[in-house]
Amino acid sequence: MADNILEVKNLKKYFKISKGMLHAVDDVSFTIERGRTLGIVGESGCGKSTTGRSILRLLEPTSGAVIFEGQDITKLKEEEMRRKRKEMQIIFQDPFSSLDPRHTINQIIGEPIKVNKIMTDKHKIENRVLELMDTVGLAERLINTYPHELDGGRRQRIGIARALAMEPKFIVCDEPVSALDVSIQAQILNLLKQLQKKLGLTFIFITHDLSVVNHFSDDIAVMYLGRLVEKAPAEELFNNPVHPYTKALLSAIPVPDLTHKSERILLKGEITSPINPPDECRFAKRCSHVCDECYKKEPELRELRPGHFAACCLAKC
Amino acid sequence: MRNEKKDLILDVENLSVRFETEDGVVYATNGVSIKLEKKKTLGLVGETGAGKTTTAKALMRLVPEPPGVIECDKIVIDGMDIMKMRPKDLESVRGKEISMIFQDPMTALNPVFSVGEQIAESIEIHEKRSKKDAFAKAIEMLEMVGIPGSRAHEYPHQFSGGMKQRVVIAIALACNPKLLVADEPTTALDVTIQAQVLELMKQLKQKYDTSMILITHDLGIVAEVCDDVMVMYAGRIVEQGTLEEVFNNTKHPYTEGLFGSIPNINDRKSELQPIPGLMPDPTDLPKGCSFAPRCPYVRQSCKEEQPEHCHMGGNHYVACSAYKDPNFHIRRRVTVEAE
Repeated sequence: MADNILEVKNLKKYFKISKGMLHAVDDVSFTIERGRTLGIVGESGCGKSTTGRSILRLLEPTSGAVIFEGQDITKLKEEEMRRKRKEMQIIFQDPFSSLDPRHTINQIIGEPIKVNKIMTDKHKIENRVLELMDTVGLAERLINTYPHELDGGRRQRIGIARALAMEPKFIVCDEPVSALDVSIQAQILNLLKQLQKKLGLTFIFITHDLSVVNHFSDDIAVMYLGRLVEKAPAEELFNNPVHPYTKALLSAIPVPDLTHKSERILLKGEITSPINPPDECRFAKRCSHVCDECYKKEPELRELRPGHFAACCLAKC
Repeated sequence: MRNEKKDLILDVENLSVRFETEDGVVYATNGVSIKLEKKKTLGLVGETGAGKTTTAKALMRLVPEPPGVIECDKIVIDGMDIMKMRPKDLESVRGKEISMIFQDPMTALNPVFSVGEQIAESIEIHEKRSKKDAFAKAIEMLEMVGIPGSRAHEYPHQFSGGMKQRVVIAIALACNPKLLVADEPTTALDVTIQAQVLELMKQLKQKYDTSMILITHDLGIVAEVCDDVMVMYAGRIVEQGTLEEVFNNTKHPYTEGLFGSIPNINDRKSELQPIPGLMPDPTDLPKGCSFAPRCPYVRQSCKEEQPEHCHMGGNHYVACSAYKDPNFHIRRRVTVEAE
């Protein structure tokens, strides 16, 4: 029996706007085993960040359940949720705006410890901060510097150290390396991998960059306009994609290898609106395999092979 | 043996750009030379701070002088000596002979003018056509980039990122420039839209015989679109050659480092090999080779002297003194299947 640390059931997040209801996350379900990484990929507006934040209740889900270690956290009261947050943390995308510019590294990393009253002694907190800095590869001498004095890579390490301060079991990484240069990205990805091994962490890794997610995830979920369209173990997804959107997405990645022959699938048109979407496949208007079935109702997520799910009428065959 | 005189669209020799500021002198570009043949596409590759954008802007003298100081032996575009031209003459060259797509095209469009008007503006100025004629041509250009001409009266905010980018391309190509400089034209776009835009650029390039300089940090895009490659580090070109030479016969340790940092779709098992450390501060460049502090093959002489430009055959040059030793080679090897 798999040790599922997280189970997301029919998660929905809708935003009411003047034009109607914006379906940002629409009926998303998946499970994650302890110690593994689930990559959530998709392009702008697909709902991946909103999913990550809704799971942590940084945005309140409209409906659905988020079962963390057997407990539905959407039902927790504020005080209980606050305590739960020690176990579920987040690393943000922008290493510039996610750090308070008026706090030193010591204050930023120490804040969760202070606020949660894990320790109250100033020196003990500082020692813990130094430990965390060492874990993420930040030099000791930087402890009293301000974010603006450091580059993006170091700032992101501060974000990671802060997320680790509470010794969480589960971390949502929301595009943690997108704002960084290629060689710094690689440093941070390697760090996250090492930390996962060392501390037994479970990650959700949200990104639009498919080469990165391939490298860093055990399983990958592909999102399109708020819906989960395909989910499979990483290698399986890359080798045997089923959903036409997944195929187009994979074929679109430019590969830095001259021996690679790409067969590009170019999508026609533009993404449709997430506001009051009709009950049909949301990808139908851009799909080259579209048929009548696709317009009749939203396709369900079906398990085709063990662990490989797809929401597409093609998935019947 | 007769020396073949190549038909060059761009001939730059020893270009250096520095910025004299209160906090010190920023050496952004140092001794860059480029020879670009007509109809070819050059990929200018490097990370943030390498000096790629400064180099590109210097070509059209778009660097503010002061605090910028441009020094070079020559910059010749399609036979025209840019450094000798008066500002007024330069204005007629920009947008007509040489056009630029700036970084973050999302903010390159004027929000209070329709997209049609913005494309037409370029045509009006350079081709001296009436407003009506220019607008008609603008509609043609929109269709060319895959946007219905009926949308010519709409405003930038009514378009998605990918479409705005296509409008920017339409403006850049409206007067059929001989040389297009595209600075990270697809960085801000989703990968499927990026694919559409790159495909469009390839088609238009062929149709108009445009030469192109494509600035990017994405080696995947370079592999797809470029004929020649120049790798920049701390304001200098560290390696240059044809696409095959630089990709399949990589020489410079920094270029090797770049390839090692990128996750390769085809090889997910291997650990990423990031380059330790950071690019040096351009106000405080190290004495010898700028890459020495991070180079896995560094020798004492590298820290003291500027690296030599070594010819590796064909069009392939590398700025690395280690190659003075004919037995030296880096670890990266690409096996190319025999035809």
